[in-house]
Amino acid sequence: MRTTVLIVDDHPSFRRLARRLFEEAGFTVVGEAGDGRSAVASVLALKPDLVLLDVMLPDGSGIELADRLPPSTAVLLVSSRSADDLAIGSRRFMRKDELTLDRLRAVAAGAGE
Amino acid sequence: MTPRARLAWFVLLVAGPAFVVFGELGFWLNGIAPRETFPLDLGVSSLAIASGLVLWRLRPENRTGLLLGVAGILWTIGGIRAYRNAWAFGVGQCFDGSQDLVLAHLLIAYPSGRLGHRSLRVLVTAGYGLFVVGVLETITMDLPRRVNAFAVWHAPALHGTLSTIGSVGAGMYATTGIAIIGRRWLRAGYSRRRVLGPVLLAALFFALAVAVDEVVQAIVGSEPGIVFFPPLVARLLIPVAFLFGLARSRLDRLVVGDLVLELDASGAGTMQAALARALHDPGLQVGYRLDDGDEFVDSEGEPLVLPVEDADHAITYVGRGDAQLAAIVHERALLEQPSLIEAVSAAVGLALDNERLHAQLRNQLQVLRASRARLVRTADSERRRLERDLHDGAQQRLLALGLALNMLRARVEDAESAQLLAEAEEELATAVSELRELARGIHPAILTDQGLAAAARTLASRSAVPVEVVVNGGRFPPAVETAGYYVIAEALANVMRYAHAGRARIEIREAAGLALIEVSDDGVGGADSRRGTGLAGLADRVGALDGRLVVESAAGTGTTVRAEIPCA
Repeated sequence: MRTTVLIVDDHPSFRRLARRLFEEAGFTVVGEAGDGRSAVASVLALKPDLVLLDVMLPDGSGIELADRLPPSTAVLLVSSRSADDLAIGSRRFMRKDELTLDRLRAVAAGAGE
Repeated sequence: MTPRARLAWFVLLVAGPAFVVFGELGFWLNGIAPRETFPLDLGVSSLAIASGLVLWRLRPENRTGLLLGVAGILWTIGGIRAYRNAWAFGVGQCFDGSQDLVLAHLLIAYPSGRLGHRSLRVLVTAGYGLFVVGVLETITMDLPRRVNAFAVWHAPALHGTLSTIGSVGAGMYATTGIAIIGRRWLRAGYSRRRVLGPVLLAALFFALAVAVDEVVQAIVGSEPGIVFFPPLVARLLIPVAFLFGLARSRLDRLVVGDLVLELDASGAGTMQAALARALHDPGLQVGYRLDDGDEFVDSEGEPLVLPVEDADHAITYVGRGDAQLAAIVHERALLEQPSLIEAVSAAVGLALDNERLHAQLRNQLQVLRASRARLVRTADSERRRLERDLHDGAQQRLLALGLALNMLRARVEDAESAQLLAEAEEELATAVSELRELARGIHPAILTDQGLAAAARTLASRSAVPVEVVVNGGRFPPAVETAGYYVIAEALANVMRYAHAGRARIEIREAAGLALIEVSDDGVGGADSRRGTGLAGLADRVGALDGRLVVESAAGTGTTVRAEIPCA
């Protein structure tokens, strides 16, 4: 069964390309959200396995949002900034320029195991 | 003085003592032993006339002096009852006590001498109605006309009723007077109490004494031989109080000389306190007019909005020629002593101008300081905006391009093309990385998002030297955090470049309204903040926020860079 993903980012071009990248890597993208508020609604409605969550959202911090989501939902925080600029702590994080097919396929394989 | 006033002055000057002599010596001329109250009668009338004349001479526009003199004369007219003559008795009897009505008028109208409010005018007019009652009492006395020439209507019952009306009216008048004086005292500020205090206290005593006198008379009757002294003493105190106030006012003006000496000896910024002392007004404020415009500032150069003049406060403008140099905001009561204000204003003229220049300079410094702080804030704000624009604009487009290239590379089967795409991806990754570093250098996003403590930990984590971070307190205002961040970044950079340190320490805390940001190391020391532009630039940035940068770096003892920035 393919891992379902919700993509949360305020840049439409990034969401569009990230959707194609995830789908090519073997994920099923179940939805997209452009801000934290609609992200919460989408998580509750779609119950994705993984949320790709931008750290800086127009209506707040992605880090704080990640802590509010149900524990059953895996969260991968992403940003164009590096982790030490963001006080990510122990949360799962990847720079946006590190998102590649190879890495995502590895993630997908790990999630499927 | 107008010719009319001069004539009135002359008449009073002659008539007053004549009435005193005529009235009081009537007893001796008729072979009657002096009354017990004679010394007080003589004292009150003479003193009232004399002090009334003095007050009228000094302030002819104020009716206080005139009323006091008239009260003194009426007192002597009342005394001519003792002269063995039916007409003198009648006149004296009619005017007996009339001086109290004038004194009441005077005290209610004090200090302006005018009855401002309609209710006061009605009250005083009603008070003078008691004089008519007194005249009617005289007419209805049960005495032969050879004793009282005015006794034309023998009506003992009516006389008794009129006596009761007179006593009750006088008592009510006195009680109302107590309420008016008490209210005036309670509402008065320090300066007003100081100016009006002696007269108001004498007035209060007078009204109380009259009220009690009326009660005593109602109980024991006004039998001859029974003399109630307090009203007499109270009447004596009124002119004494006026003279006391006058003498104090003169003494206050003598203090003006001390004021000039004090201002010469003391430095700038002491004018307001000196004036407050000289004019006995602790709440006095001095506003200095700036050269360009109508704005006023205080001695520290802070903008000062002059209050609107009201019942309690007045503003006296002090100037040279047509130019207004300053405004003195003081209690309205001081307007009762215009000569004192004029003397003080004239005496402090030069010092005031000097003080004004100081205040203007301080104001310019403040404007400059505010302008510098505004520049720093604007620059910081621009940096944040630029970083955000880079992040949202170019950086996002490059990242999207990277994702597209990555997906394209997976589709390309031709090895050469795949190699070219891989190189393009690599170049793009470098560009993204450089752009990220550029954006971070322009403004660290973590500072805005997480605050100075988190940003300091990030800086510490990137340092080649182990850095301990100690934070005590919450977040500071954005400008303070930004300045603190650059202090830490520059100090840590210096630690790595020059200090040869084994370890460093960052401490961030708040104490006494100051944000204290300190970076210390155990290196070789010897740093000089005057060399190079790094620390000097930081000192400017910290100074723009009214803070200061301290660098302690004796050779061999390590270096401590500490920024102290107001954050309250």
